This record gives sequence, structure tokens and C-alpha cells, in this order.
Amino acid sequence: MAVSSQSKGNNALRSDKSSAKYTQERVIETALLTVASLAVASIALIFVLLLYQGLQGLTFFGGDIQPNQFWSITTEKEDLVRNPDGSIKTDSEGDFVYEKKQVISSDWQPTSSQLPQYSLIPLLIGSLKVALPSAILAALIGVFVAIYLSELASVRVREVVKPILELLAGVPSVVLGFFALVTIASFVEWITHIPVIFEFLSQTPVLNRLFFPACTFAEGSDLQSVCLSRSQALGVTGGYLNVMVGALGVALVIIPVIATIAEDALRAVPDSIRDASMALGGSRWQTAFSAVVPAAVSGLAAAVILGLGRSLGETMIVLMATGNASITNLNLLDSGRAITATIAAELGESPAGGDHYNALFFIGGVLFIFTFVLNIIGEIVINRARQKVRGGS
Amino acid sequence: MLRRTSLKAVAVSLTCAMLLAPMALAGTITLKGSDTMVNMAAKWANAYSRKNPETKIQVTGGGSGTGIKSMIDGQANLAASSREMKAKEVDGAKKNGITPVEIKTAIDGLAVIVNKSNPVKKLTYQQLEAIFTGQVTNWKDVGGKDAPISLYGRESSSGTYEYFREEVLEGKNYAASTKVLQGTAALADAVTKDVNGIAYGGVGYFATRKDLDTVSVKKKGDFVDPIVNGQINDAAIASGQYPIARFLYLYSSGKPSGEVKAFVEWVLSPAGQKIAGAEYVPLNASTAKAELGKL
Amino acid sequence: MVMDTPLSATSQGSDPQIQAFKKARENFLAGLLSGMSWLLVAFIILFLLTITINGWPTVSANGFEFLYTSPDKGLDEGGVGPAIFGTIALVVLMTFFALPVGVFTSIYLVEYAGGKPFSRIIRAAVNNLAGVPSIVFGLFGVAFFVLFIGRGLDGLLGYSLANPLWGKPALLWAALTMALLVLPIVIVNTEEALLAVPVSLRSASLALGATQWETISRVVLPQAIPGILTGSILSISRGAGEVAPILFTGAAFLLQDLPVFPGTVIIDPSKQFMELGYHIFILATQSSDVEKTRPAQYASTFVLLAITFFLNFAAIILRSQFRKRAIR
Repeated sequence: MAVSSQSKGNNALRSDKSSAKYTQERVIETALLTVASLAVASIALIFVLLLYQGLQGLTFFGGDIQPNQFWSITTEKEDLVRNPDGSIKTDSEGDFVYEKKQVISSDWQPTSSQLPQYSLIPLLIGSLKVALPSAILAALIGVFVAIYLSELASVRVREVVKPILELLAGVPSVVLGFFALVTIASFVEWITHIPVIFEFLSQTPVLNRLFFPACTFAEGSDLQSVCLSRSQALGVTGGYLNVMVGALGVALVIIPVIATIAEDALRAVPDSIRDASMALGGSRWQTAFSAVVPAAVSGLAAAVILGLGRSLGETMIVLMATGNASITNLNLLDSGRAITATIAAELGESPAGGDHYNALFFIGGVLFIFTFVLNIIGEIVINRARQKVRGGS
Repeated sequence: MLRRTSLKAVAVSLTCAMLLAPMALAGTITLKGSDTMVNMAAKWANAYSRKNPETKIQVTGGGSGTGIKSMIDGQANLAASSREMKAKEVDGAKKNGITPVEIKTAIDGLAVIVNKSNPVKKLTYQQLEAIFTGQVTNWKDVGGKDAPISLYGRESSSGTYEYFREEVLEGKNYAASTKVLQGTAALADAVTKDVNGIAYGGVGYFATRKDLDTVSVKKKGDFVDPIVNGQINDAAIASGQYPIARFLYLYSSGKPSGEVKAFVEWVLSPAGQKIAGAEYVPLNASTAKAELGKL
Repeated sequence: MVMDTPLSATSQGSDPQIQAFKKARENFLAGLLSGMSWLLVAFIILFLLTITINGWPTVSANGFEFLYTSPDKGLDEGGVGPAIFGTIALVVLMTFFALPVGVFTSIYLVEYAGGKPFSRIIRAAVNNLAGVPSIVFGLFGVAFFVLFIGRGLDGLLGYSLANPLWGKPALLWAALTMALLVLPIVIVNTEEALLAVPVSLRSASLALGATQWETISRVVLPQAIPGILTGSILSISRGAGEVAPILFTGAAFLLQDLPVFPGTVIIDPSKQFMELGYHIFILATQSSDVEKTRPAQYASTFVLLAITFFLNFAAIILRSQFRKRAIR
């Protein structure tokens, strides 16, 4: 930025002799400014277009979608009638008996032949079910690797580990999606069924709700043993494609992202802080954890926030590995339908300008706002952190 | 300087490209749609172009809805569809000045598949409806083990998805817990890996697979298995004895002419039907003749 | 505030038991951190090995015919020739759009804008553009390029809705969509390269009477070329691997002809194209027998990985070269 102060040198050009050149310079500057505005224009255009097209579907703007349809609607549903012993009730001809019920429904059923449903709830849950676990996992690994690389590893080790990490950053997400489909899926199924791990996941209070909700019943009850034998003998509750498979794949995408930003944040901590800690007798480990990490903590937080933004926006891995069922539970070993995967799977079939098409733009807009806000927060935190580190030194 | 000239050259060639492009359209048939049909269509395209090298056929999947949409929007000459066009779609086409012509090309039986280890090998329409709408969630309710049912299905863009919904589910919505995969082969893959899985798909995808089982289905009358001894049960499917069967269509944007017509005629010829027969059930001679009459 | 933690940590350290506990904790942390890092490294190597071991035999069979033959029997057999060509055509066209815009934007930011408030807005926009999910670019590409611009162009050129030339997915729209996606990569790398050119060079040029533009185009830019090249290589590598933006703007399942004018090698931007990443997606989820085409899936993945790694590797080498030069 220091460079631009040089432009004042152009004042010399204002003499009559070079006025043609001066005009030329101004023209060039204006042209460059115009090109540079393209970045601003395109992001603004993306936002306006998503908003415009997304809102077109609403009744207010001439579509058929009531605003509350994006949340939930009251609708009629037929349920099977059960006998007291749990078996299905049949009529005299042996046909199943159904009864009509009014239910509050929040489903994503955009092509239903009865009433199209556009609830965002399953999609938001689907997106978060993938993004949060992957971000947490990647944050743990990414930040630890960053601390190791920046504070503790020797130069030699750095020279080996860093390029390999960059290699991972260069892997296209469709490749990781493929890998998740053929390898991680089997891995997740295998590892969750190692008895020790199964026990841990199904008996630890919060974890069991996330992994084996069928096992959250009271201890010693029949249900628990049923759940245990069932899950062990028959496979993961949600089938072999599930949110956890997708989350592991997405974590591989964002580990390098988080590690890189986190390492930058750690390196921005001035050496004076390290020297002070060392001078007081702190070891390298103490220095790293008690002095450097606290000084860089907001930068590390920013890394995680930006990583979360990336994982919310990841498409191909989620499309290929999570099973894409639009369900609303929090079970990580069950499926989930993320916003990104929904757009990727459905945009091709929806006639341009129709309600379904507009609804896809609406959810695209929601996704855009989420990631936009996360990016802004991340940027602000990073800038603050930079100023703080500079001010503190 | 040199860079500027090369930039100019690229710009000029790009402009030329824009002007010349219409000429490139001649000799290209764009066929788009059903994933059920995409492999068969690709094989048709390969075989036909080998005989007629001047005709290039562009094949894209994405689902029947996608293909019909593209045909309506004029982005494809032929839409491959595994279901009939809906009235709404026909209206949309007419609005764009297109009168679609429907051509039957093959018959597809839809099989319901389960894991090899699953003891349930027979299901009625009622049971299938209850299973796929999520009303029945445990295999023991349909005569199986005490285990949760794990549903697999197709994207809503797929004709198979719509046909199965209208034919078997009486138009009711699929259960939200249905895991949605991108292709029939992926469904087969999932069911071989998930002991509690159940899915539906074109019978041609499953005939050669030893690692999963097709279910005998009963609508009225007897249970019929679409695959017998590793062979597609052609007779039962063509006669309608096996209930979940449908025609596979090509929709042409207007009465086909020129290369498109020649291609469709070839598809209905014994050579084309032989390729169709590899995965599906070919049309019988009288149906094929009737379809040729529409051209 | 930052300082008192280590202080207190060391000052209490007189008790030998506490000392031992601290030592153990340190060792544990040491093990955890380095263990985790090396585990990650081992995993990455294992992942690459898996792809290579499973992919190489198919790629190298019959004199590498996998690389130049077309798919056959639907997608069940044959190679990825058209997909490789399509990927190249896509990134060439993409670079043609992204490079000039990216470089000129960086020039404006570094050489002209300085502290002007508008430059901060541009920078914020570039940062946010980098964070936009790739599928959102796909949405944008369909609505803006294909339907708005494409259909508009067809209206002007007199093509009907039933027989459009531009109002349909095409290489051009895919390339423009992808260009938007990689624009931030070009800008960030070019900026870095421009900033690395010593101010003294600019001063010298200006002092000799050159105008600012003359200084930039004849002195600064030539110095920054390796950096600009790095940026474009990185963006090509990214563009070659992204699938979501081209799902609806141009990629096709199977094409028998390349996206060129018949009988030439000139790219025809109005055609659809096959692309490696999309091909992998299709093969892995939609081919008629997923297990049977597994070798082809691994092989296509291997080819795509090889291409992106080669590009990334080239970029890393180039960057280290110009960084060395900048330091000197």
C-alpha cells in the first residue's frame, strides 16, 4: 500500500506538454477502477439475484408459496391404525386400515403430488448436522497441527509436513466425495461397531443422543439390550451413508483451511512474547500453550469460524456421502439433507421460474447469508487480532 | 506487444465462434433425461454413430423431469423419460410452441430389492406402500426380523421416483427418512451394504447381481418375481402380470425429421431393440410397428 | 495479561511432585500434538496411495489408452479422453476471463487505490467472493449467464426458445461461472506479486519521466510475472477440480464429440462438454454397475488428482522462486 503514494509523482505530468499523457493516465486509471469494481458488482449481483429469484416464489410476489410454508404447514395425513398388541389393523378383506389426521408438517417435499412442501427445517438441520461436527473435528486437528508446526516442530519437520498439508488443500472435493463413498463409509461402519467404541458412544450421556439414540433408554431395560444387539448385529442405524461419513469428508477439506489461518495467527504473535516466557524459565511447551496460544486466541477463533463457513458451503462430498434424506433428527449416524446437496440434486429438474426453482434460490440465499455473515465475522476477528498483536508488542 | 496480439487473436476467434456456432448444430442430436435410460441411450448413441459417423449424439442424464424440461425449453431434441409427460408439462411445451411426440422404446419392470440376508422375499402393494411412506418402520411388521427398515430411494427428478409413487404409493409422499441416492446402481450398492435396506429400481440393473435379492410383488392375484434364475422375467413384465412395469419413452420436440427421425427409426428397429433388450424388455413387433407409425 | 500465566506456572514449580506431574502433562501434550500431526500426514499419504494403487493399473493399461479413448458401452468401458479435453477447454476459457480481470483489479488495488475507502470495499468483496459456496455460483450461473444473458443474446440474434444457441448450458457459461469462482485466487496472488516488487524500481522509473502506467506496464508487471503465473496456475488447479458450479451450466454425461468446431481444434464455447470431476461424480453414483466401474472410478480420480497436483506443484516451485528473487 505504501506503493501508491508514488502516484503523487504524476503531478509533474500536468504541464501542457504532457497533457495528452495525463489524460491517458486518467483514462487508464478509470478503466482499471471499472474492472476492479467487477468483484464488487458480482458479489452484489449474486446477492440481489438470489434474493430476487428466491422471493419470486412467495405469494406476495406472484408465486404460490406462503411465507410460513418455508417453516411448517398444517396438512392432512393418513396414518396406519394399530391393534393394541402393536400389529397392523386390517379390515375384513385384509386391507390395511388408515385414518386421516391433521398434522403440523415441516417437510421438504417440493415435488409432492399432493401439496408441495418447502420447509427449511430439515435442510437447516441437515446442513448443521454436517457442518458442526466437521468444523469441530477440523478445528481440533487443524489448530493442534498449526500449534505443532508453528511453535514446536523443527524446521526439518515443518518442511515435510507443510507441503503434505498443502497437498491435501489441493485435493478437489469431488475426489474426497468419492473417497468418502468408497472408503470412509465402511470405516465409519467398522469403527462404530468396535465393542469398546460402541459402548462409549451409546452409553455416554450426550454422545448417545448423537450416535445411538435408540440406546438412550433407561439402564437395564429390555430396550437397551435390544438396541445393543440390534445395532451390533445389523449395522449402523442410519445405514452406511450418513452424516458422519460426510462430516469426516468435509473435515478433510477444512483441516488445511483452519491450519493455514491458525498458523498465520500464531506466527503473528511477536517473538518478544516468546522470549519473555522463555526468559522466565518456561519450556517450549509452556511458552506455546501459556503465552503464544492465549495471545493468538482470537486468530484461532477466526480460523474456526472461516472453516465453519467453508463446511456449510461444501457441496459434492455432502451430495455423495450423506444419504440426503430430509429428516429432522440429530442422529449423526443417520442421514441428513444439506442445503447445498438439495440445490445440486434438484436444480436441474425444476423448470425455470417455477415455485420449486424459486424455492431453491431462496435456500441458496439463506446459505449465502449464513456464509457471508460467518466470513465477515471471521475477517473482523482476524483484523482485530492483528491490531491487538501489533499494539501489544 | 506479442501478448497483445495473441489476446486479439483469441478475441477474434471467440467472436468467430459465436457467429459460426449455428453451423456446428447440424448433425448433432441432443438426447437428455432419465437416468434409468441413460446407459441404454448411451449404448444406442455409440452403436448408431458407429454406423452413421456423420451424426453425433449428445447424451445427458439428470432424470426424466430434467430431460422433459430441456426438451420444452428447446435445449434437447429428444427427452428420454421413464414416465408419461404430465399435463402441466405438455401445456408448458405448447406455450413454447412445441408439440411433443411420444415414442415408446422399451418396457421397464421396476424391482424392489432387499439385502441377501433379509428373509422377507414377498411383499404386497399394501405393504410396499406402508413401508415407503414410513408407516411401517420395522421389518417384523411385514414378516421379517425385529430390525428397523432402512429406506433408499431416488431423487425427485427421477421418473422412477414418480412412477413408483403414483403406482405403488397411490400418490402419497415418500417417508422423509428415505435416503436419496443419485442413481439406481448406487441404490443396489447401498442395499448390498445395508442389511436392513430396501430400494426400488429398474430391473435391468439387478438381473446380474448375485449380492442382493428382488422381492416378489403382488397387486391382485399372485406374487410375481421380476427376476427368475438371474434372467429378467420378460414374459411376466411384457404381459403386465408383474404389476410394476412401465414404458420407457422418447419425447421429440415436434414431429421428428431428418437425423432425429432416422435415429428414432433405428431405435425401434431390431438392432436398437436388441440393445434395449440387454437391460430392459424390448417392445413386441406390433407395438414397435405402431410406434413407427407415429413418426 | 498475557504474561502472567507462564510466570505463575514456573514460580509454583518447586514441589517435585508437581514438577513430575507437569513433566508428564507436557509429554502427553507433546505426544498428542505431534502424534496428531503425523497421523494426519500418514492418513494423507495412505489416501493418495489408495487412489494410486487402485487407479494406476487402469490408467497405464494398453499404452495409456484410458487417457485418450472415449467412454464406450454407455460409460461402462473406455477412457476419459473427452473429459480431459473438456476440462482443459474449460480452464483455458476460464483463465481467458479471470486472468485479465484479476490482474487489472490487483493493479488498481496496489498501484492506484492505496488507502481510498473504495479499495477497502473491493478488498472486502474479493474476500467474500472467496467464501461464497461453490453451489451458489452454480445457481448464479444458471440464472444470470444461461437464462438472463444467454436467452437475451438469443433474442437479439433471433434464435427461438425452441432452438436456442446461447440460452442453454454451454462451455462459455461454465467458464464464466468458474472464472468468478477463481477470481479471488488470481487477485490475492497477483497482489502479493506486485507488492513484492521493490518501491525503488518504481521510483527510479518515475524519476526518469515515465508515467505511472508506463512504470506499471514496463517495470512492475514484468517483475511480477512469476507471481501472476502462480496465481493463474493455482486458479486453474482449483477450476479443474470444482464440480458444483458446472453441474447446470455446461457439463454433460456423455458426448461423442469434443466441444470444438467440426473438423478443427478450435473450441466451440456454445457446446456442452464432459469434465473429469463431473465424470467421477457420474461414474461413482450413476453408472450401470457401480462395482464393475470401480477401477475406472479410481483411474479417473487418479488422473484428476495427478493434474491438480502437478499444477499445484508447479505453482509452489514458481512461488518459491519468485519469493527468493524478491528477497534478493
